[in-house]
Amino acid sequence: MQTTELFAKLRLFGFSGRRHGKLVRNYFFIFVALIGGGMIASGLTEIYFRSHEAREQIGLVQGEAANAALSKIAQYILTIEGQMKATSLSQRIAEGGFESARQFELMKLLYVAPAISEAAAIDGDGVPRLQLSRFRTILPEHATDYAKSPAFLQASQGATFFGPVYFVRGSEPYLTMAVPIEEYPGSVIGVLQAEVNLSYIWDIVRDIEVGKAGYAYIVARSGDVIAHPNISMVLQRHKAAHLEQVKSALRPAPNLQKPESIVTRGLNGDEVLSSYAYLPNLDWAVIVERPLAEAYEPLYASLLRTYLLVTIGLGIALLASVYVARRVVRPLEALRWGVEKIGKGDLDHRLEIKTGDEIEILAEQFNKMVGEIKNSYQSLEDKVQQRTKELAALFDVTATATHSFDLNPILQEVAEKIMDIFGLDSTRIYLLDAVQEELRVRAASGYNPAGFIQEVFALGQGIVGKAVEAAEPIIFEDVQKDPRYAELSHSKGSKGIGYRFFATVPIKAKGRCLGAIACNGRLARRLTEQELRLMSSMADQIGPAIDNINLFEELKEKTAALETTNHELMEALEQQTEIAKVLQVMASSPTKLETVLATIHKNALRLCEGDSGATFVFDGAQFRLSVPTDNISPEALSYLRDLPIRPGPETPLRRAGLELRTVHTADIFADPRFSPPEIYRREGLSAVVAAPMLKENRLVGAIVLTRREPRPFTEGQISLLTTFANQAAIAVDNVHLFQELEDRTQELARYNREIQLANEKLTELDRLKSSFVSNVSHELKTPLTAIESLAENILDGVTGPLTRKQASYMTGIKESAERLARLINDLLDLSVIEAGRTGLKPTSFSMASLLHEVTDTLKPVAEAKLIDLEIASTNGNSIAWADRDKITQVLTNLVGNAVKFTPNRGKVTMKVSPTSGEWLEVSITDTGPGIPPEEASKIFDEFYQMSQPGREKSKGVGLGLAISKKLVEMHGGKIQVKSIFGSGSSFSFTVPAHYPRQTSLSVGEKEDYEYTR
Amino acid sequence: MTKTLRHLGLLILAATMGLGAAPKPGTLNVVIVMEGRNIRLQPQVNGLRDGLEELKYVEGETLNWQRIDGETQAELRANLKTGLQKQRVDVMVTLGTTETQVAREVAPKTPIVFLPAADPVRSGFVHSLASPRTNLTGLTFFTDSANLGKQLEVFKQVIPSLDKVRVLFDGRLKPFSESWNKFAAVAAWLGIHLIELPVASSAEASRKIAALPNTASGGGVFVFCSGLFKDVEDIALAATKQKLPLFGCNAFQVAEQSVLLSYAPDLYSLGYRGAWFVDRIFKGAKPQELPVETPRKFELVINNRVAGEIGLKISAEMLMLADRVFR
Repeated sequence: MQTTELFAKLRLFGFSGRRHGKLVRNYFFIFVALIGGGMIASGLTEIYFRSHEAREQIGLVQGEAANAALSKIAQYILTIEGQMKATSLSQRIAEGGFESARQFELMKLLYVAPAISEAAAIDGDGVPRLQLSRFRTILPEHATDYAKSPAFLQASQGATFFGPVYFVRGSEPYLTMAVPIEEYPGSVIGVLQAEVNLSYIWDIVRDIEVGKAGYAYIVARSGDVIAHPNISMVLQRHKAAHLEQVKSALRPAPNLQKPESIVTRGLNGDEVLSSYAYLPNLDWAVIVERPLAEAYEPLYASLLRTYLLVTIGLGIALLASVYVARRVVRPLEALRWGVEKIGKGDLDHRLEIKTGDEIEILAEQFNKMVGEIKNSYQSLEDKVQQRTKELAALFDVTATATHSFDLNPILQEVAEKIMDIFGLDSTRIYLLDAVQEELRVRAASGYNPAGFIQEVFALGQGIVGKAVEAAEPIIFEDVQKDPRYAELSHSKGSKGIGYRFFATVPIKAKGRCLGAIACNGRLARRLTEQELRLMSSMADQIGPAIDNINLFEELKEKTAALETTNHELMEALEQQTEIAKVLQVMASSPTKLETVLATIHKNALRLCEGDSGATFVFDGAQFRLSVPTDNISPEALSYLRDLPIRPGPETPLRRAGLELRTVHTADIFADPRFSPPEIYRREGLSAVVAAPMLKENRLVGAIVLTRREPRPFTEGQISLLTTFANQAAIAVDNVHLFQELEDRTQELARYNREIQLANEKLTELDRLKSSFVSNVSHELKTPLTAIESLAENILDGVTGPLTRKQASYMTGIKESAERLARLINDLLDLSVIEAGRTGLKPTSFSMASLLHEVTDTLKPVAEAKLIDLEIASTNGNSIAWADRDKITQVLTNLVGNAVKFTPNRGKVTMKVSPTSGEWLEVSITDTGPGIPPEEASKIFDEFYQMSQPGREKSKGVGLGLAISKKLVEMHGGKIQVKSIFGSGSSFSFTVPAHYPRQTSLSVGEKEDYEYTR
Repeated sequence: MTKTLRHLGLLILAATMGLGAAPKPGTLNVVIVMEGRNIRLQPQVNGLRDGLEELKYVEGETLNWQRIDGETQAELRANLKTGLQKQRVDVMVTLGTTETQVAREVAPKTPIVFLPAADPVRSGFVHSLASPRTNLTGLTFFTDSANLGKQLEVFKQVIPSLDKVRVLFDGRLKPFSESWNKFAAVAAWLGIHLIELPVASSAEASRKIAALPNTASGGGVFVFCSGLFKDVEDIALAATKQKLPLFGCNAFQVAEQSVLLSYAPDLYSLGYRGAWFVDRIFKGAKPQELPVETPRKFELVINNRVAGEIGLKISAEMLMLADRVFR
């Protein structure tokens, strides 16, 4: 059934889905709960107990099936046992013993008992005397010794033996059985043993029917399934020991008096009802199982029947509940419908319920109540109508009072409306003048003959003044009769004109009294409370309106003032903007004076509202026209350009140049201060203002603006023009500065070019000099070497013995040649260094060791002069990272000089010390004559030699120190000398210290270091 | 006999009509694979048919037969290849070891039920009897390799004077050495002298037996059963003529082809049981899940008429113990 259909049907039974259907639902649900609940409870109880009983019964029935299966199997085994016993009782065996010729009996046994596959007749000693198999020939050598077999031992005691199940070919279950062979009862002469093929039990098991899908099977103690309708289960050696039913059946000492049943999992894993029995002789469990669904099929059918019955009962209960509910609810529904109709406004409707019970009484009472409601409703309606009218009037007055900001027409209209609404003959409205503290009539309506209206009341004067002062209405129903009137009235006007009714109501706003409404009627009347409240309300509505209008007026005044201020601000802003534009032009075109002055002039003319004008530049003697306005006549233009205009008193321009201040006149021809030329008149000029351009109080120009009408320039305009003139002065000054800067820049560039050319020439000359020195030195060195060696040969006597004089001369030649060779070497070194052809081969070496080496070299020379050569102790690191040969050359030169210039018995001290982590400083200090301060700065120059008196003339050419300086500087070091003339000198230089990072490498860094080496 | 003929007629009719017919859904399609053409010589087919009928199969409705045969293995193989292409096959039933070998080669994925196979484990048809692990299952003819010796023992029990036995076997096949050794051991124990008589055809067997000297007592012929000896009628006639007791392969040969005696499983029962295998496979079981079954019983069947013809008197005891005696 569709949901919508269901709801439709439910509505037929009162389930409208709306709130007023609730009673039906309640009835329905109570019925269903009571009757249905009872039925369900009894049904469930019935189902519960029946289920239990049925399960028990089914278990018992299936247990019986298991019992029957057990009996069949037991019977089968017993039959085999009986056949074996029958064979053992054979006369042939009894008579003939176990002779092989008597094997007929065994053949017969195999014939009658197909399950026996082999049989053996064993004598009393356990020796098989006869053996027969269905499938094989048992050869004598294959005969078994049975003496100790359990089968023989048990059967020889007179009891049948049933062995455990074993499997042949890995799959076929067999059982060993043995019975005693007795000559006569109690006289056992041997044992008959048989191997029983249990596959034959399959036939029995297969034929056991347990319901439709039930089955029986047998499980041996080992857990092997030994019989099952599906023979594959046996042949495949299925194990069943894990099943609950097998565990229970084969539990120790089961002693099952009767079969038991449980619900558990079967061999296939399905849920089954399993019954089991125990076969004690064989130690087997016989299991009978049925699928649970099939086993409990009758139970389920029974439960289904019970369910159907309960459902039917519930359906009947439902119908009954609906019927009863409708009987009860119908009158209630009629009552609800009637009430709903009345609720919608039909107060003439009456309920017609004739049930004769409480509901009918209820309906009658309801009808009475509706009648009373109707009456009350009518009264209420009248009141509402009246109130609505009042509110409309009030609204009318309020709307009038607020629809405009023009007070007098509003007050007039309000006065008329009040008169109309209350049916009065005269109305007046007085408003309080807060300054004068008096009330003035602002509107009047109705019959107000001349002299009736008093225009002004002081506060507290008359009825109007008192009402305002007290902020309370004063009402006279009949002035003719009311004694208070004579007491309070000032003019007695109302009484005089014949009005009888007089009322004054104060007009209030925000707690202040703003005025009053005074009204009169020809007839005496009484104001009801509602009328008085209405009139007061009207007055209260007028009050805020008056207040608002006053505020509006005030706002208008303030707005006008703000607009004026705003206009001024806008003007100022415009001026600032124009000034900013001028500044921008000045910044962007600092050298274009004409452009800047034109911009300034144009803005000044526009902002100051001039008709024409001109801007002049002052050249120190006279004004020169720079920017004229477009509308200047050619004649005037010619006048301004051609004639010299110098500072003077005649015109504002000249006067401004003279007085260095802004000069203004509203009418130049009327102003006695000026005597303008005729061209002014021809141009029709009247008002003139001239502002000088001043830079540090120095006149640089002027701006002149003119008007053709005698309208003076305002203070602001004059001030603005002055500002423009100041900016123009800055522009003029800037131009001058720029021009000056440009001139100087050009001059500097010219100097630079000259210096560069000179430098290039010098560099070329230096290069040519170095090249010349290098070439000449090489050329000189070769013959010198020849002279040296030849002189040495002659001195060595190669050319024969020499006279003393010859030897002396030759020695002189040799020494001169050696000296000349040193000089040439120095020259060569210097030229190589300067030519940049020498390179450094830095190594790590000890500076202290080097000092010792140099000392050793120069020691003989020092000792000859009794000079003490000393190496001061070295503090800290003295390892240098430098070109050892070059530093040796520097040291030799410096120490050599020190020894050379130090007088006999003097002292030369050498010292090396680290200056920082990266440099070593080596110093050589002597006790020689020292160096004059003026020469100290020149001694490192090439070919420079000191020539002061008293100092030994150097035998060199002045290159040693120059070479030393260059070598030190090649290492990045510095060389210097400190000397006190007459007290010795101290030369020092710096060399790079050994780079410490190379001695403290980490393992990883070391690898990199070695790799990069 | 009447029942057997009726079955055979229906079977032939079904096989003829079934050729090329489209299988119906839910219809069991069985192909009988046999070497030779004479299905009458295969009693297990009748048993199979009755077994399927017992299992509610109705020929032409829920059961379709087709027979594929061949006089030689090569012919059978060729026919099988052709025949299997023509229709859907649910189960192939092979009627012997040779047929099983051929069927397995031609259609290795089709379930095969052998009815019977001599020794399926040694033939490589299955891994073990309990767990085949292959696409083949069915029933064995023998229980184990000692069965031949038992047959010789029974031969001796029936004819106590037996002292010389000619063993007739298919010279093209190599008998299992274990079986032969056990057979020879039993012969030795029984005091029987064995003479091998290999042949390549049934006719050759007949000729060789006809050429044997007439030895009224002490001699006998024992047939090592194989596909070659499905039809032994001529051999039996030759043996009878030569007064030689003939030990045959099965009860059918004793009953229908004048063989003196046999001690073997009942082929009809074997076929009847085979129906269960076919049914299970058709209903979804896999052959590897179905253990190979061995015969539970050997039948002693004696043709006393033939005994009389060859001048042999069988003892009353043996006749009494025989399962069936034909006169």
